[in-house]
Amino acid sequence: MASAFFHFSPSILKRLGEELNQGVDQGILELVKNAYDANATECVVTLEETDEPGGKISVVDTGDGMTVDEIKNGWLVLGKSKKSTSERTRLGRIPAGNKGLGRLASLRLGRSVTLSTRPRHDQLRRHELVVDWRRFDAAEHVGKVPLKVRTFKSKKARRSGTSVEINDLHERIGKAEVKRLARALILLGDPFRDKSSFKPTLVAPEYADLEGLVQRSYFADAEYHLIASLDSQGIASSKVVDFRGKTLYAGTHAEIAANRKSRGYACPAASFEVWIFLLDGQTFATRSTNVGQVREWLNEVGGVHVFHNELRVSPYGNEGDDWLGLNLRRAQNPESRPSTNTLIGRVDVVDQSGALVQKTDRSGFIENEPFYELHAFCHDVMEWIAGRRLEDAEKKRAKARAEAPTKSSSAKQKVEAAISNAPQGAREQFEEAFSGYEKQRDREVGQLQREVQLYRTLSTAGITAATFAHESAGNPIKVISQSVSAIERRSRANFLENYKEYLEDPVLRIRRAVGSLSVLGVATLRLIDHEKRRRSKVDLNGVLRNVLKTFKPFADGRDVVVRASYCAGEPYLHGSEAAVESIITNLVNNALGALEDSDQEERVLGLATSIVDGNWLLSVMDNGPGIEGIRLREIWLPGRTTRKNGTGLGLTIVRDAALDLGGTVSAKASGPLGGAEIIVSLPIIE
Amino acid sequence: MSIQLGGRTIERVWVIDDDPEARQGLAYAVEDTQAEVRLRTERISDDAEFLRSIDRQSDAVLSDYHLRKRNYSSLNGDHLVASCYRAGVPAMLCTTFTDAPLSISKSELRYIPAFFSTSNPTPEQIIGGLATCAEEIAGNFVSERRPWRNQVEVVDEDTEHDCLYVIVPGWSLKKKVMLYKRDVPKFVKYSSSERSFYYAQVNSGAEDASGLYFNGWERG
Repeated sequence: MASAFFHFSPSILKRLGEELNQGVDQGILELVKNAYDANATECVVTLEETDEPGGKISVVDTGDGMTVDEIKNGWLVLGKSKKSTSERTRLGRIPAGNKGLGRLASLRLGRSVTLSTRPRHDQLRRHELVVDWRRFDAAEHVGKVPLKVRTFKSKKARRSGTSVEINDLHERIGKAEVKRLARALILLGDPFRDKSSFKPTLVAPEYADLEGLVQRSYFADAEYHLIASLDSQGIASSKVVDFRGKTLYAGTHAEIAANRKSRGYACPAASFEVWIFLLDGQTFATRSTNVGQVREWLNEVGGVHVFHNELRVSPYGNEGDDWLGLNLRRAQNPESRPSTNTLIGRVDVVDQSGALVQKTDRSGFIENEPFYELHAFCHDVMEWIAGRRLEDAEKKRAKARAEAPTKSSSAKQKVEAAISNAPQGAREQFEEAFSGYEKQRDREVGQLQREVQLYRTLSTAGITAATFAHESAGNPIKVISQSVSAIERRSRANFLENYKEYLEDPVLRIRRAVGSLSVLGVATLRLIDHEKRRRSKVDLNGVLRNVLKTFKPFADGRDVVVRASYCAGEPYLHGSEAAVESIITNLVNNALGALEDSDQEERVLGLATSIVDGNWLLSVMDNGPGIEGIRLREIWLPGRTTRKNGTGLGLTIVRDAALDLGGTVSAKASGPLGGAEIIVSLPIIE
Repeated sequence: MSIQLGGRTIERVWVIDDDPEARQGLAYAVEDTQAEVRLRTERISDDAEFLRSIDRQSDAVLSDYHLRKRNYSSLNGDHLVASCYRAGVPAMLCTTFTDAPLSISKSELRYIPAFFSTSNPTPEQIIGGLATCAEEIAGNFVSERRPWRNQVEVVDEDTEHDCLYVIVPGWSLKKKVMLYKRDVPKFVKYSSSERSFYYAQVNSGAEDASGLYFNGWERG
């Protein structure tokens, strides 16, 4: 039996080096993390003449160094991590635990590498290893290139540590990359924490500027400071303090994890801190810092960073990264939510069990259950604070409403006092003018109050109607429908011809009545479908077709003939389907109502769409009595109606919804069919 | 009295509805299929308990969607019907037209071949629906229901309502389909910075988005 072994082509080194290289910054960070694992307190990265190809990168640390054996069986072994997260280093650090592949990626940036290291336990000796990648390129396989570790002995013990020099770089390192590296190095060991025992630095002008900016600390200017923690049992707690240090809210696990029925979070213990800023001139008016400085600082370091066993994990909190989806939520509700530009936060996870695993290419954590759970914790905490802030905003609004009459009265008194000081002749004129203004304003306020009340009443009626619609369609209508079907089926089978003569007609009537009843429920429930309130592409003719389909049994039940004609193509606009639907539904409802008063032999509801000058025109007409007993321009006013028990809101909603969509409305008291005609014009996308 | 469905004999059809009146209403249609009707009047504590109470070889199930308005069942009809399907029992789901099919889980829909948007199925519809289900359990799919491995792109999300919008190019290049996040694995996400592709078993022969199901998700 012959033994055989795998051999690796030198191209595998090239491939791994290139494919795992997320960028110069990430490669160098791997070398810096090695320094952290080696208990270094300082690590200096120097870039020499790197603005052109052929430059040099050196990474020098003050760590424990390596013995010859550690070089041979550790540093030179790729793809195997000797580091265990369950064992801490001499300084109590949890090893960053890479597999050596990221290191390879960075070492391959140049044509050769020189490793020089002095072990802590033998500080008289320095070991050196030179790797010339060109020799590998010419070799048959990786193992064929011998590498020599040379040892130099000095008379005097020197400080332990390791230096790695990557020589003769293949590519230049651009300014943007240097800045990214500087940012990554500054943030790596959490510069915002006092206790950090590891300080990597970069010798480059970009670093000093950025370091100065980052270390300018504006935490005290945050409006809200959120402090949350997750214990080893997955139980969360949180509190929020304001910029004076006063506790505003405190949350228990049950409140934070309400959406998961208080189940614990299955991830390592963590702390989560966020500083939320209100970046407006008014907030900063009384502060010593200005809003521009804070904005610039947040621009550089804002976002929620993740520190795993004390070291920052990219890309969380990088520019453009929004791993907690903060920006989208802010767009939906700007009042109570921060964005990545208005906060800075950090998640600290001490993960000795290794539950969170970083991807080999260092593009974040593998998305396993513990990661999802950590994400859920942070997300739930942000939801919790948003809820508390929304409650506060509501309280402020209620207070403002309550105080409005007093403030208004006080302002009035001031105006009256000012008028009383005016000269005799002018005073009377002022008094008369102010009195006129006051009456007009009172009328306006009264009108608005009536309108608000009307909308509230209608909303309540709508909510109640939806509940009843669901209930009636779900049970009583269902039972009637099932029972009448059974009567029909069994009677046809048993009574044969007698069924037609005696039962067919009443059964048909019950069916029609059930159809009419059902449509009310359907129309109500379809209007409240949340998906329709979302802004999207709205197929206008399609919405009209659907509304008419929904109303068909209702129109049939009233002997109304519906005649619809559609323009060619599929005209559409960007808006909410609910808005378009509410326009059409209200117009159809109005027309059906008007036809109740019609004594025509045939009741006709006509709908026609057309495209005119980039607008979709919808004409809704009927052969009812037309618009009478009200001035044409007043039909759009809220609460104005000529129908008994009418709300007078239908056409107001039509007008407001059309205006919101950028359109217009008009009406004819007597249209082509003899009754009213309402024309809605909505701009379309061509 | 029995009915023949895709090579098997169904002796009894269980009628499940939380409203006794509606249960009896459904029973009229089942009686007219010539199968024996069994009305489930006791509370259903869970699907396993229900499956133990029936004969998996010769029983079929007809269930309403809403079973939880009263204290009748711990689960709704969609989950019960899907569990029956997985246990090899032909089952059919009925619901009123006011219940948007969207409220039914898109992953459970894979196991609900006989879904009627009506609370009032005819005897013919009941036999047809149960036969479709029996055939599918035996591996014979109609084209609208056959699962295919499809690429799925997550194109948008609505965090307020906790849903994602996806496009299945194998079904339509234009139409977005809404999926609730609770119905997809956690790794399926929307990204605003890059395109998010996955694979899933989808019945891309379905005519309407409401009939589409998604399960067996894989990372793209």
